[in-house]
Amino acid sequence: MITLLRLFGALLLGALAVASHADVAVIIHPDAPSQPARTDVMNIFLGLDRSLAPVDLAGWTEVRQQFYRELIRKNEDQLKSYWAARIFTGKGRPPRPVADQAAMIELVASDPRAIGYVDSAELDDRVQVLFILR
Amino acid sequence: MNPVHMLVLLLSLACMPFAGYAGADNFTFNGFGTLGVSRLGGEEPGRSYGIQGQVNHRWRGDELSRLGGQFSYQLRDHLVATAQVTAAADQDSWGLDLDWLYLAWETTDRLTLRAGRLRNPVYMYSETLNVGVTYPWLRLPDEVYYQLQIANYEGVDLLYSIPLPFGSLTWQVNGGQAHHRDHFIHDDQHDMDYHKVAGINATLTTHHWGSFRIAYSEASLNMRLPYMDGTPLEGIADDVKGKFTALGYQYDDGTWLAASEATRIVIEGLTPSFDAFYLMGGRRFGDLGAHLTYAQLDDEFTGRQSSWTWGLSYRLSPAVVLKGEYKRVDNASESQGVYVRSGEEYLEALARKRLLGQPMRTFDGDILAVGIDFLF
Repeated sequence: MITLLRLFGALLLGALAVASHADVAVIIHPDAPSQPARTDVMNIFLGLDRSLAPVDLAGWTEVRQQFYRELIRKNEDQLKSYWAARIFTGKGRPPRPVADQAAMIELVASDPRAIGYVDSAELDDRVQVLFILR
Repeated sequence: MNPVHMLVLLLSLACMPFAGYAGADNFTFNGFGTLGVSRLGGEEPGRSYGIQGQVNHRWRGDELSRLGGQFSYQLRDHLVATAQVTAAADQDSWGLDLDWLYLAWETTDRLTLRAGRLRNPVYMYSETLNVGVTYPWLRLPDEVYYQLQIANYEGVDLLYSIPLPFGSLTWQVNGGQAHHRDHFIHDDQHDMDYHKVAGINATLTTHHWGSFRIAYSEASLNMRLPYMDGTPLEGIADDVKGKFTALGYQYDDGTWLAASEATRIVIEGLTPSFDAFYLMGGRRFGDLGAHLTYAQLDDEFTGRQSSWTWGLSYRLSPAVVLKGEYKRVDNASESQGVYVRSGEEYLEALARKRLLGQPMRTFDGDILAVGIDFLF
């Protein structure tokens, strides 16, 4: 009985973990001038490469958190400190924020230079997927 | 060009026809600040420490506390005007400093040209000296950051950034001049002119191994010290060249952090050369952080100041950090280090040394500091 309870507990935890772990798709316009690789996307979102214009979700949402953890490898504190240094030295501005994922898709679908990210469940065919972060 | 002239120039530019494309979205404001106090123990009352001697036996807030704001206005695509103003204490009175005032033109995806008043990018944290959230300490390591007093200059710089598969390489080249800047020696304020300020630095930023920086800067130093007239030190700062070299490293993976800089200053003539460095390592435990720093400053003519700094930080929010530090400072040989000694005290000690063979005294002590850094 105890073994069964443990098994049930493990399955429940696993299910919760899966539920809180979205697949995040990095998206660009279908006619984007370039197809950046993962390392290029890192540079673009850190303001080190201006070849495309990055778009960010406002607030530290689960999707944004996963994007920065999996790709950029920065948490919220590090990101805040990083952009403070860039802004106050005039060496860069943070990505343009949008309110939600629908606005993100809308913007990327309308601007060939924009690059963003959304939960893969939110994707539609107006944007092109570069790669998926799992 | 003085700051008022530059401000008028920027306002004029903002009113030019092409600025008509600008809307309310083109204006951005970012603020920063520090509220902190510090105190020196272990020395006689009245002894002070730091460039302006703002650390002494009383708890004082004027060394660390400051409030700053940056205003940027997008004049047109790829052309931005920026002003950064900081309220801080200077010589026991509070005032406003115009730290930055410039136009930036992003000429290509890689090249940015800037002109106006700019921070002199000598140290790794030179350009964010007033923005405490950008570094782990409350007080930057004095042994390195005490040495150069020039904060900004009027001139131009160029930034050229090359994206790499593992990060980026950024070159910065700058030149200009800085006239009528405060310079503190022996508890006195003097007027320094820096002619022909020129520098170059390169920063290799990697995604996984931290960032590496190398910098060289030089300037012609001009300062009148009337009380030195007729002494062997007359003309000690009469159009002499100062050369500064620095190496730096930073690492922060979210848990572990490290930072280090090594610097060398050589000034022509009778001024001693200085070598300095610090090594810092730290770790975060959730919102709590701890770090330890060893720092050293060698004066070619006297001796060495060394220090250990233990620091703690606690993140109250992503934009607010509470910090506390304890620093133990020791001087060896005849070193004065970062301590302040008045001109009279110095000349008396010099006379005693020459006439009586008494070595100059050294200074040791403990510095406590606590405060919060914030962004808004």
